[in-house]
Amino acid sequence: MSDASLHIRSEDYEPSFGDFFALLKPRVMSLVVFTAFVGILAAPTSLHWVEAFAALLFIAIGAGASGSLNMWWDADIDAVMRRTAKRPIPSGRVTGESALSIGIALSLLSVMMLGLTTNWLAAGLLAFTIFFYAVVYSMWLKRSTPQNIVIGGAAGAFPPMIGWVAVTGSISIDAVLMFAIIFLWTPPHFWALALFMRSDYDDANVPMLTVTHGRRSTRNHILVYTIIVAVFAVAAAFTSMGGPFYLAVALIANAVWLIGAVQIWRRDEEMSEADNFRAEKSFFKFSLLYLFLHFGAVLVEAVLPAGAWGGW
Amino acid sequence: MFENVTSEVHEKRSSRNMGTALCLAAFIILLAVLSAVKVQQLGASGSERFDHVQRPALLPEDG
Repeated sequence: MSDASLHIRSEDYEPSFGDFFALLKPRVMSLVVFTAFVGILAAPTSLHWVEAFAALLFIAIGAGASGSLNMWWDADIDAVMRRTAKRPIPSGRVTGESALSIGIALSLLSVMMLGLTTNWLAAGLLAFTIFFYAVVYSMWLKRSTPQNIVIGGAAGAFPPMIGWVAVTGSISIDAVLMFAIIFLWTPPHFWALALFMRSDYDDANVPMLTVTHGRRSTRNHILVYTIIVAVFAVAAAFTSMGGPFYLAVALIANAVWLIGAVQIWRRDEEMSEADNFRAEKSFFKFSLLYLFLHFGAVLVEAVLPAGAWGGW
Repeated sequence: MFENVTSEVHEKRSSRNMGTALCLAAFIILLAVLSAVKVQQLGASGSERFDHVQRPALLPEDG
């Protein structure tokens, strides 16, 4: 992080409430809320609805806090990348110091309140997630290794597990599988993005796989990870959170997902540039739907009565 | 000395203060409701057991 990034707010700009809220990465928070909600509902026991709501809120605030810390640290590379240049700090709407203060305050608040509301294992997992995203991923891995996305993906994979643990007080195979699906889904999702947003990562000197190992290697990696995540995603159908409905959704979604990965793998740069990275862009778009379909199916299984389509 | 602020700056400060106030109010309400739920979950005997001696009426009858 450069020193300049901390002091780039223009003096005459008065930040609004929305500028501070944008530090929490609301779009990422919505995904966290959704997956944590699924973790809470899929758990075999249940919380009082007020406790469940509070748990969800504090998990979301924890995710927002880590987003704010990430924006504080990454302000210099956010300013270089087209996709992130309009974020509150690089655009001069909020100072780096404000983002750091908000990040630390909300981290402490969310962890403490989740512990008091549910249990301290869930709170510990939330604290570890914030630490992992802000320190391990943002400060260490992102700028030092092309495996940044692979290991850093763990931060985004924890919320459904935290939701599950908030209800049950323990970690089970179902929670681990929900974690594994997001953890293994993250690399191909971001590598597809890196294939068609290449100048962004190059300009910011972020060692993405496309830059360090080449684009052919990235295409190979996307295919391998897609196959691995498909195995885990289908295997989840045979645990207590799965069922016939989930299995049907997983089979269809993974078939489409694999076809997309094979298409990317068979293409070279010439073919991709000829149609403006159509296959890579559609794979990236579908990857968002892919995650929604799987966690939506787990949600449906949790709501449906057993014996019909719900559960085995 | 009062600061001479433009209406745009005033509006932004006002929205920021209002947003912060609403968040604090929502947090206080959540704490109150959460506390009520936690106490309810303890039940009649549970809520007295930490710092009180249970009333004889709350103890299970023998035989």
